[in-house]
Amino acid sequence: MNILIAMPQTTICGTVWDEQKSTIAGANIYLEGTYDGSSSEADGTFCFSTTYTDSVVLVGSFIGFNQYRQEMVLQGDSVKIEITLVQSASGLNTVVISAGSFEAGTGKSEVLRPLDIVTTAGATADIAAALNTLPGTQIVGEEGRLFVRGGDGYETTTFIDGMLVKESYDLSAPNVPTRSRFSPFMFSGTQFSTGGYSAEYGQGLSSALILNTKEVATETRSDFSFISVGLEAAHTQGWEKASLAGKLGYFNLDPYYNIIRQDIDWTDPPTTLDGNLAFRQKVGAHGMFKSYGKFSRSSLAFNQDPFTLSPALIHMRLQDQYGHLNASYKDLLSDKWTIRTGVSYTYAQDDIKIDNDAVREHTRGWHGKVVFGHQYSDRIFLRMGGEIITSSHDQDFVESETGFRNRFAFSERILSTFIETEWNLSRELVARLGGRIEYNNLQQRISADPRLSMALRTGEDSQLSLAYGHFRQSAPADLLRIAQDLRSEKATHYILNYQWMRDRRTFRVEAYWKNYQQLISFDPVLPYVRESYSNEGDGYARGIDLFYRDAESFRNIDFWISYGYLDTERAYRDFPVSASPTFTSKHNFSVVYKQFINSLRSQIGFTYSYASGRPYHDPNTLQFNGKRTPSYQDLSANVSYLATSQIIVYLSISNILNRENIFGYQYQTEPNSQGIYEGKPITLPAPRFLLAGVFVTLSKSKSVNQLPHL
Amino acid sequence: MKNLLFFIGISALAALSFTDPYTQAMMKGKDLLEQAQDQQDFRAASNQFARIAEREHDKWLPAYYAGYAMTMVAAMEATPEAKDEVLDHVQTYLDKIASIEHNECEALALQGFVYMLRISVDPATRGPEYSAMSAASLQKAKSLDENNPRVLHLLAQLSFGSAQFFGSDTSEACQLNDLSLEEFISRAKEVEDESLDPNWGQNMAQAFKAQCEN
Repeated sequence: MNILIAMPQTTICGTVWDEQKSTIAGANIYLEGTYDGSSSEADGTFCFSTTYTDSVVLVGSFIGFNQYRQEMVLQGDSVKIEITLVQSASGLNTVVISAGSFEAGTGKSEVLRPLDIVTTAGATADIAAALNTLPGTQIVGEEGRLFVRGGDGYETTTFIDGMLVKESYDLSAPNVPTRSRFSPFMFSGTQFSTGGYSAEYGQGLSSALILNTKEVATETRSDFSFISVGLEAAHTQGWEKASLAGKLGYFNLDPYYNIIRQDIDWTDPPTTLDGNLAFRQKVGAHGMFKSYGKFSRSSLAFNQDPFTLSPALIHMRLQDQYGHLNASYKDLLSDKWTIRTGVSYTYAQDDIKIDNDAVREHTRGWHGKVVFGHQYSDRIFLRMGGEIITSSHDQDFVESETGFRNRFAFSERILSTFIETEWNLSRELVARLGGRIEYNNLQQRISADPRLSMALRTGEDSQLSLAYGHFRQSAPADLLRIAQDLRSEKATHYILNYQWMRDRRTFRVEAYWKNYQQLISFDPVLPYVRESYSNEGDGYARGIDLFYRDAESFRNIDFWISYGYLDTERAYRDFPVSASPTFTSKHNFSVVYKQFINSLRSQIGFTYSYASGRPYHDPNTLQFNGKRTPSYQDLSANVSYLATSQIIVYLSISNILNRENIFGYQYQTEPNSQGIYEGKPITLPAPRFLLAGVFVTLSKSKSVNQLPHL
Repeated sequence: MKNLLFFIGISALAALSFTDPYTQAMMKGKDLLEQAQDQQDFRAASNQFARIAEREHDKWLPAYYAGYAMTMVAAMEATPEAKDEVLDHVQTYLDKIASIEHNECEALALQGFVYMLRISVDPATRGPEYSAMSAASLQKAKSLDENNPRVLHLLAQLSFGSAQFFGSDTSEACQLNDLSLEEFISRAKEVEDESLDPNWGQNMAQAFKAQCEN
């Protein structure tokens, strides 16, 4: 009941519109700092009265739109006003550049989710293996690393929380596929770039694998894994604003190799002990501090048949020690500025004994980085930063018989700075322009690399995008240690992409052309002499990738098909002429199928992969890399069964079709008595890989288990 | 003299029935909420509370109701993207409450409810992660008020969904829901007319009981 004193009442009425002249219902229209206001009706009209007078601010707001503000002076007369709300530039509406990039995360533009990467059959929870079912990747079955669009394995660089990671693959014997050292369980977001990536990242000639670790874990849990190749125990302690997670694992392939015959004469099958620790802490209202540490020790030993005319088995022993430490911090500095900074350190020591000769290699590196983000205006976002990357590497070789010693070493320091602007020209068009400037102390040069990408919305669910950029990577360690002043290898990328995404179906087609320059080549006759090395190599890679994914059409079924056509040649390393490298094939094709069967409480998956013949060099012929292996084909399957809400049973098997895949041929270094070089095929040591495991999760909430990771 | 007495009388009457603007505005909002049927109604209720919340920086209740009303809007959204967008907005209210009042049972219960709705946007991917987060919020709410009917009902819904998925026994979840209904009824009897405390959820628990009976 109001006190009966007459006060002037002003009525404010009107209609709320959007820019397309449709009315908006449910918008909040009110006088700032008061309770007076109302909600617009179904027809967009509103009307309310107020006793406030003089200067007021009329505010209009609705989700997804910028706030409307209008200053006015009320003097008791009624006010009629038309309000137009402007859609905000961020959110559902903006176009996100998809050229050259597959993003898996909780964002809206993702093509793959982290779960997808980990549940792919045949991948046995290895990131590289799972990504190998995407277009643009080349199946190199005996290697296990990522080879992207005609590029060598070293051309893909891995980043965790923005920090460079060296030596990201496990120790393994020759022609035995390796695995990524980092388990996909750690990551909440993955961005796999097949080219044209942001100016923030450098030192990846072909592609960047950008991984983001999980945020603070809120639940406390313990996980135990019993697998046919080892054991793992992990514990996560969650508090309100922080979490600490630790994992310890021990793997030994001896029992497995005793059951399933392998074609390698192991004297000590691979064993690995590894552990990691991850700490997260929320800082203030918007900040996050993350720290991650990993260590591992691996060893293996086997008798190698050197395949020469006078065969005497060589005993090979490999030992690897690895440590990686990473700390990062991100926060809002103000409502328009953000900061992301981090530092990482990697240490790797490898000891190789070839009979009694010994080789010891050390790799050490630091990476320090700071990136500032600035929302310059509603449509323009700036990103700029600087980093320092150091790399020191040495190799010591001792020949036991003669006592001959040799040492190669280098210490490289790269300083770089980058700036990039993301410009939403409209809701249909976004452009990203940027560049990187790098200084390399071994080359004593400053270089500048521009990057540009754009996306244009062509329809409600489709977009066209393109990317162009210069990329450079300093020489791989095994070459740089012999010739420290080698220039960086360079590649120019041109990418054009069309993508259609609706509900849970995606279609993508992407055409690319990579132009390689300054590739390192050396004379194979004198490989350990500086003078043999130069940057005179070059090459090209071009092709088209197609991708279709459908998680919508069939209930509980998710599948994707990817195909890539690649045409590439290069002259690099010890190639006498320009030719297609052995790690490429003209056609790459994958089908991945997953289905959740409710009645059986299981998820089953199949992956079929095909790659056309790979080049290899037959010394009995004249043409370098002129011959082709038979095609590669593999059908793998996996099954995850929820025995109870806390126990999962897992089984995976590769090469169900029992095909003997040949990856290349190895030839004798000298011809036999008939003048013919004898050759033998390079195959996997066993026709298939079986993995069986039981995963147990203990936590207060019974609905938590390891299913998302399998 | 007569005028003075009259004036004093009127003022006294006015003073007795005078409710402060804050309570008045909140009661108006609660009325809108009680009568709300569709998204439009819930948006109107949310807007009313949002206006109050903007002014009252040290009170969590207006932001709570603004968030609750928008949660109802989200629950009725047709497309997953729209659901997520509205829930993002609700989360801003919940974050604001958390900065004012850390350990508020009702706010934590609402947070648990929001996490449950997030699951429905993409059950396959979000199921495990968000059920864990929802359970954590609801358990914390329960530790602050053991028999809060909203907390009990939401926990019942969460464990029912989980039990269904794993094919295990749903009776425990249904018993929990019956307990929540008892609490709803007993607390409704004790509440004062002008109370601003949350009292929603009985209809939801009633409707859920029907699911249990099948």
